[in-house]
Amino acid sequence: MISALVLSIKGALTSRVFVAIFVSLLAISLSVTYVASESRARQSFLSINTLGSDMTMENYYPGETSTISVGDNVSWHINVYNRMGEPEYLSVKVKLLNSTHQSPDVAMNLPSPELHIFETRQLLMNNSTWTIPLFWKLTEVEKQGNHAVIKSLNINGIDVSDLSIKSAGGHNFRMVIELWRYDRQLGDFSFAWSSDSDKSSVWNQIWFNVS
Amino acid sequence: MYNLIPLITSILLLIASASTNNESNLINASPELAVESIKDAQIAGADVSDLVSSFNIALDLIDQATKSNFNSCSSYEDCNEKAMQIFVAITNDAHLMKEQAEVASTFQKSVNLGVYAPITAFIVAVIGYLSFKEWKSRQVKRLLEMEIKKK
Repeated sequence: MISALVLSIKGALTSRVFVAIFVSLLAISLSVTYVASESRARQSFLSINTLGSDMTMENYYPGETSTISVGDNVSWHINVYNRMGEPEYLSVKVKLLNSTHQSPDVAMNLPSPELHIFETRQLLMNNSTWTIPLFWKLTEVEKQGNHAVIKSLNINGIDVSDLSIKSAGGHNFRMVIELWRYDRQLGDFSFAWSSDSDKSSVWNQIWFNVS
Repeated sequence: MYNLIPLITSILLLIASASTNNESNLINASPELAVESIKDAQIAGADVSDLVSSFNIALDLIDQATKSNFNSCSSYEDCNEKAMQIFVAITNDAHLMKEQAEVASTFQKSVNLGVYAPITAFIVAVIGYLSFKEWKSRQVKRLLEMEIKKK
């Protein structure tokens, strides 16, 4: 039985048909191995979301309403997810705006021109989430006629003063949270990044009133 | 005696150049440089998770220095110096890991292309050829055993 098999294999090796089959399969096998060893392009993206005090999309405010008073402790959690295919050096910038301040523009991939009041950075592995606890409270609000003016606040234990964010009736203040990514070509952080053939950017905002 | 002088001179020169390299590394150290080295190592196929953890520890030290909130370092200078030392170590380790990963990747590619692919092709070709021959001989045998029946 074995000797018959050996004889068949010997016969096969000298056959032209076998050589033709082997060469064809070798070409296919080499192509498949080469293609498999090259890195495949995947959809790449960064995402950001802001959750409330209990890590759900609820309880963003200390009370029942979205109105915040001086001294109220506000607790949020910012989640940043990296699916860019490599570690990303990221920066989260928090900006305090009123309704008339310019928002970030996703269509043009432009950040809000206002200065940030808080920034934190992290190098985030691919397919990982970075959770940033954000604890803040208003420390000084001034009444100017019908307007409420936020003069200072404390964010993650850091006092931020010299602010002057004004809003009629104390309504429609907002915290804008922008995600920036370190751009190797630029040598600096950039609000937009290239994903596939497009440019993308992400940001969040949470509105609140001040009493 | 005459042979000893150039030997000692070379040793001193080597020590001097090593210390200069260290200093210039510290001057050149930055989070951005470390990030670029880590990314290069990752692209080459190295596991950079430990480097990423170290990087974030260094970022925390810078944060402590900026906010004057000292937990794992004692002063602004101490925090920054420790952070820079970590960035230097990360940059050096990342370069080393990149080189190792590139060598390993090239070797693996060569083995795949030079050994596994031809062996697989050979085995499949032998099995295919023998199966084809077996099928063909059965077909001939069937033909020979056919009987003509009158309806």
